[in-house]
Amino acid sequence: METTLNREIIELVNSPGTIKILGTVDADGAPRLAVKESLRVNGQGLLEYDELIETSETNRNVLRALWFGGTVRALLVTPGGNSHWILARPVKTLVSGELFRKRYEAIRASGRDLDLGAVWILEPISFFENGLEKRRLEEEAKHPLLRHLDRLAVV
Amino acid sequence: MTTKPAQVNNPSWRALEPSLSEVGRKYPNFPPAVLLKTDVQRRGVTYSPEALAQVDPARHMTTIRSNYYDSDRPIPISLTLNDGTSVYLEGFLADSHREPYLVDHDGQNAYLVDQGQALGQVTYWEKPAFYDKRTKSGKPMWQIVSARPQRHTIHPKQYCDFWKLKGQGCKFCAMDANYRKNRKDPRLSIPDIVETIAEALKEPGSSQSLFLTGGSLLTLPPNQKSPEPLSGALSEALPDPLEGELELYLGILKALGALFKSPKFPSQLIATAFNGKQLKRLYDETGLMSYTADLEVLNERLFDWICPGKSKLIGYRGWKERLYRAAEIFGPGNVNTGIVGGVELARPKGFATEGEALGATLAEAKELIENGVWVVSCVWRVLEGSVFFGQKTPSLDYYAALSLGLNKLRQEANFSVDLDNYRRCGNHPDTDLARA
Repeated sequence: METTLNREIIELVNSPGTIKILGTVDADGAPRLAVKESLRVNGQGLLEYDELIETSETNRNVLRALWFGGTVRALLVTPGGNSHWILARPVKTLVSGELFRKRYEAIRASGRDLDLGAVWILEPISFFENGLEKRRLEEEAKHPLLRHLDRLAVV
Repeated sequence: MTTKPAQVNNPSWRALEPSLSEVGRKYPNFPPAVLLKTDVQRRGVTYSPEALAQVDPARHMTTIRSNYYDSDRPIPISLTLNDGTSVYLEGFLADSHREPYLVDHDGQNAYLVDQGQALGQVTYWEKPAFYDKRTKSGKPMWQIVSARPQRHTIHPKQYCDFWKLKGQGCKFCAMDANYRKNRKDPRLSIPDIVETIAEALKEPGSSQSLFLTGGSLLTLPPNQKSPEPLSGALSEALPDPLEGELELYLGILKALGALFKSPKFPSQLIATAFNGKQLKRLYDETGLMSYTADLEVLNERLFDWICPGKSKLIGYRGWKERLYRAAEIFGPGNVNTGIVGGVELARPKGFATEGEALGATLAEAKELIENGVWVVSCVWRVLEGSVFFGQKTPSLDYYAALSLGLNKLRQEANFSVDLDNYRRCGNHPDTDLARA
């Protein structure tokens, strides 16, 4: 695992064709998944996304992670079905000011009647390719005992 | 330019009360950022030369004209922590009982620092573009409307008429002193207000709410200067003494309504407690969506002592009844009442202990919320020019318990804090807790 996002994963995050899902946990530890189309990597190598629903459960969970030192996880799925995840720590939320305004204007310019609750900034901690083929090869290399015999049988 | 902390009365003050970290350990579910904000508002701040050198009046908000504080010095009006929590200061530097926090800057970021330890990164509030413009009448727009992270604030009447009557002003309030010190116009003109808000609305995403408040406007007999005639005058002779205040806000809100395509627009008015007929007019004739009338302290005996003018004009029980009527008109959750958290411990007539004050305040808040009115608290900042100047505010432990108690009452009643949430006023630690 790496802690600085490489070019491949930055392009993956910033690609409009990638499905981006943010995973958080609520105060009781229950998981919450939400699609975040706006997830992107900014010029400082940090993740950013626009929270469009101010009182959403995800917004509350990300805030709680910032308050109490928790983490969130972004799952990225390519059009080809390959997947990666990024573990990240919320470090800042913008609720007014210049960057907030720029994002608000971009959202309004999209033609959809949407509002903006916050812009979140997340610091990547680690990332990992999670595609099936890569994971299958890793699994068989690390755990050669964990496979069905019929796959190896010649009868 | 540097800012210096005020002289602290007792250099050993830290030994007399629990520290930020101790209170944090006592309440592990209290968000550290909100606890820090609470303590900063309690103790105040001073700025290092490095922090002040980073203030850019072209970009940062350094000017304000409000009921309580006027400034055009190159000092940040307020700060924002990384979680979006506002630390509303209005330039407030320090009280005389505790050392203030230091705002320092390392060349990249600003931090709140105590005893050499950086406790939270902060940014200075940014200035909206309309601050640099003038109205057609020639007034700087920043003197007409002030901005918070997502709210535009209008103080149409910068003086409270209770202060015209000897001994009738609220004892924690410095509105009178601020007005006299700055020699400003007592009233804003409606055209100036409308023109400024229209200009502010050109900045996308800059505000979610319009907010109006000002000093009480009383229609009183000429030359009335002593407190004694007040109650008599209020019960006879004149039309309702609050009609003038009502008409002021009706006029402003109707004029502002022309700026919006919907009949109602996100807005809050803090006013003197109007009667039912007046409240109905406010709701029916304007776009106002929420209403506040501040009780200031949740105890009848202390209300009579701390807010003598309000007490004589309407009375504690009458004030509550008017709030309950407001909740019927504006709807549950859309009416609240503000308290100056901690003033219930003011000497010599306040509660003897923090435990007693907390219990009494939360019990009264429960009754209010059961009648559709929720309570919002700010941290009592002992303002120069107020009757209570020099008093000592409660411990951080008290404020944490008060915020938790008020938030719990609202959660149990399923009340939203939207009208006074963290990025509208930003001056209420208890509503900050409602974010998560």
